This record gives sequence, structure tokens and C-alpha cells, in this order.
Amino acid sequence: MSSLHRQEIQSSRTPDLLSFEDVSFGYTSEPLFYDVSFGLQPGSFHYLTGASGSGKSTLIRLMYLGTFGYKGVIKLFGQNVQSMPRDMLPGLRQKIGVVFQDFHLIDHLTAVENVSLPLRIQGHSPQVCYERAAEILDWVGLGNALHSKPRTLSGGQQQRVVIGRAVVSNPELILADEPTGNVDDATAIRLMELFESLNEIGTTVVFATHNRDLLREFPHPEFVIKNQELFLRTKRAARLKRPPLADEITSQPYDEDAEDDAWEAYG
Amino acid sequence: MTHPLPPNSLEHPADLPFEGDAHSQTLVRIVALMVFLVSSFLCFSFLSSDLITQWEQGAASGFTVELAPSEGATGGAQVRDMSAQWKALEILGKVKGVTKTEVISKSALSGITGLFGEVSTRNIQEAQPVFIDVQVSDMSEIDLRVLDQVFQRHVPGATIHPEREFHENMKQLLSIATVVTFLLTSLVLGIAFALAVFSAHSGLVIHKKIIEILHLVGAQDVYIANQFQQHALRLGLRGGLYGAALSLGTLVFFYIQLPGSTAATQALFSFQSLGPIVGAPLVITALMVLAARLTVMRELSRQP
Repeated sequence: MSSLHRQEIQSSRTPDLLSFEDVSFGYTSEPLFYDVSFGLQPGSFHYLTGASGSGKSTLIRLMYLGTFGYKGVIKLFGQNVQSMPRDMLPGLRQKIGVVFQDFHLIDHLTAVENVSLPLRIQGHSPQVCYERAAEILDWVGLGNALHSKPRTLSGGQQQRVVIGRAVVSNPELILADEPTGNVDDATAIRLMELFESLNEIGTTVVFATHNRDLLREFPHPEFVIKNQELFLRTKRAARLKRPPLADEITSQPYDEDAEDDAWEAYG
Repeated sequence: MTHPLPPNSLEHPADLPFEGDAHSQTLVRIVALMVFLVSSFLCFSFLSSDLITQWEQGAASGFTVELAPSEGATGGAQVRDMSAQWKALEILGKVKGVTKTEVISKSALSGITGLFGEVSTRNIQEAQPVFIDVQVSDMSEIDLRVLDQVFQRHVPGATIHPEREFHENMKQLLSIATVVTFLLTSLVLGIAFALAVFSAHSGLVIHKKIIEILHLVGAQDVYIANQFQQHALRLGLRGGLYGAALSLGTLVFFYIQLPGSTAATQALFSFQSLGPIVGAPLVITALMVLAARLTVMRELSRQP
């Protein structure tokens, strides 16, 4: 078993919101990653990086219960998801907001209808859904595009609608799979600020990206998938304006030279 | 910033855009056709059963004796005919089990033949056969073959029409037709079920991306199945309405075609006819809703 999670468990702290224990997964006989272990503390912010095809999106999918068939244990909100009956999974998913690079919006619904989708599913009245979704769209700066269909919005606007949908039901965990991949730099900064503000109010964020500029601009601990293993880069944590959390100062297989090389390469 | 509620904000939008599916309109037409077929089959079945019951009661209680008219229209021929009629009535009066004999009047006879369009071409005064309607308490007590021999001996030219035999044949025929119509009805209902299953499968494939999003934001399978159910309900009711209208139009067509107010025209608008027209759309819609729910729940339960 990789040491990261074990070490964290030993320290006294609040239970992990999400934890992987020796999780291996692959679509073929060759695993994408092997014996991955980590835990996310409530209120933390982590980047997830790695080369294309390294398994970032798959790891995110495993986190939001979008795929099964893995080995090991995944615990979400303290519950082992593999042993849970199927009809209990939606309840867990309602506590997670997911943001994708390619938006995943419903084309025939307006922005406000897309954002209110999680609320409709939870059985809120049309009025509550509308008011809350409109409020969220205001927050993401789309108060004037409530009734626009996704196809009429720009990439950055669509991504903000997706963020609105992800946060409308006050999730405890936000999983973002390269949300800035299809937008320009200025929009990426604007989106990142939204995630920062969500994190500031206590939402746990996992943000998959390969945008090194963002990592420099908004420093947070970084999970790296490399050679089928998950590493935690902690140097960035030192640049945090707040003290790092316990899980942010531990590391597992960690190549300091490579880390330094990376820092040098990106200035 | 405050946002006024739009006028339609009291209703949730449909998450799955079934109305845009190319096959939805076709399905409505197919459902309409199925409703028309099922209601027609059931109408026929119920009316046939009713007819059989009526015939059962009528055929069980009698037979008809036909007396052929004598040649020529002279007074002598008429006397011979009258004599034959009295003789026939006398013979029938002696038969054990006969409760009533009645000579069918010429006007009643012309009414019956009129149904077949003969009244305008046939002179009512022309020599016609005489028909005697015979009512009996129990047909099993009467041997029609012996009675026929007696008639041939005393009233030559008399013929016995054993209605029961004809009715039995008709009854068998209608019974077979009824079974066939029930089989066809079952077949159509089975097709309706299969069609709804097929439609649900197609919907799951067409809207796979949206279903994935719904799952992603925490939708239970039953939430998605409800949307499929509602779609099946709308399709069933729309198709059912068209099919029922078509069936009703057919009834009106037959009503206009049939002359006057007869038992047949009254039967067209009885419960036996209108019941299936109302019931068939409801049954087919219920089947479609059930099929959609079962299919979607089963398919989604196989997904992660």
C-alpha cells in the first residue's frame, strides 16, 4: 500500500471527505494507475495534473462514481461506495458538483433550466428552482443570459453555466475536469476565481488541469499522475497564503529533482 | 439583481426532449392504428356474442314451415292454398311441445324481404309462399324428420326450416370469428407492448448523453423512468384519441349506411360498441406506460 493515506490517518484530523485506498483501475489489462491512495480533507483544494492519457479524467470519474470495476476501496463521505446499493448512489452524487471541459449541458434547456437541474431532481418547486438558479447565474456573471440556450453562449459562458449547475445545490465536493481547457486565458482566470471563492466558503475542490499558468497564479497542492502512480507535490503548498493542511505536507513517491526541473521549466 | 418569474415557471421543463424524436410522430400514428384495430375487433366480438345469445334464445324455441303457393292466381288456387294452410296448422296443433303457431303476415314478410331490396320489384299481391312461425317449449321433444314426412303426406310442397341448425352453424362460425378476433386483439396488444419497449430502448440510446448528465447530478433511475413513462402516456393518449375518433367515425359511417332505426343501428351505439372505443386507448396506453417503465428501470439498473 502506498504510504500517503496511511500517514494521514495516523495524524489526528477530521475524517476525509473522499479517500482512495489502494485503488487500481484500467480499461484494459494494463492499469491506468496502480495502488493509488490518498485522502481529501474537507475544505481542501487540490490540482490534479498529469500527461494526456495518464488517467486524470478517469480518476475524476471514479471520484464522482461515474465508473466502477476498480480494485481497492473508495470512500465517499465516509462510506465505502462499492458495497452501497445502487439506489443510494444518487444521494452521494447530489453532494458532488462536477464540471467538465466539454460542458455536458442539455442543449434544449435554457441556462436557468440547466442550472436548476439538480434542484428539480431533488424535488424543489419550480419557483425555488428558478430563483436559486437565477441567483447562481448572477453570481457567475450570467444574470443577463438566463433564458439563453447553451448553443448561443460562448465557451466561457457555457462553462460558467456548468459551474452554476455544479454549485447550485451547495455540494460539499467540486470535481472539475479541465474546466479551463476550452476557454481563453482571461476566462480561465475568471473561472478559477469562482473556484477559489467556492473553496473559501468551505467547498472541497479537485481541479484537473494541465495549465501551468493557473498553477502558478493560484498555488495549491497538486496531485500528479505519473507512471501509473499518484504523487503529491507539496512545494506549491508552501506558497499558500494559508497554512497547509495535514494532507498537504505529506508525500508519497516523490521525485524532488523532477519537481525542481518542473519549477525551473515554468519559472 | 432580481429576476421576475417567467409565465411558464410554474412547470418544470422536460429534461429529455422526446418531442423532437423523429419516431414520436410515427409512433402516434401506429398507436392510432392499433387502437382502431383493437376497438374494431372488440366491437365485433362483443356484438357477435350478443347476437349469438339472441339467436340462442330465438333458435331454441322454434322452427318455420314454408307452404309453397299453388300454380296460377285463380280463385281455386287460393282456396287450395288456404286449405293447405289450415291443414298445416292442424298438424302442428297436434304435435307435442308446440306452444304457438302463427302465420307470418304478408306485410311482415314484405318488411323482411324489403331489407334485401326486393320490395320494390315484387308485387305484394303476387302469389307468395306462406310462412308459419312455430314456437315450441322444447325442441328436443320434436322429431323434425317425422314431422316432415307427415307434411309431405298431407300438405305436399310444405318445407320445414329448422332454424336451429342454421343458427348452430352461424353460432359456430361466429364463435370461431370471436376467438380469432380475441387472438388478433392479443396480438395487437402484444405489439403495442413490444413497440413501447422498442421505443424506450431507442430513447435510452438517443438521449444517452442527457441520461448520463441526469445521473451525474444525482437523479434516481425512477426519476428518468418517470420521464419515459410520461412520454409513453402522452403518445398513448394522443394516438388513442386519433384511433378512437377513427373507430367512432366508422360506426357513424355504418349508422348512415344502415336504413332506419333497427336493432343493428341501435347496437352500433350500445355499450358493446362504445366500450371498446373508450377502453382500447386506455388499455394500450397503460400497456405502453408499463412497458416503458419496466424497460427503462431494467436497462438503467445494468449501468454503473
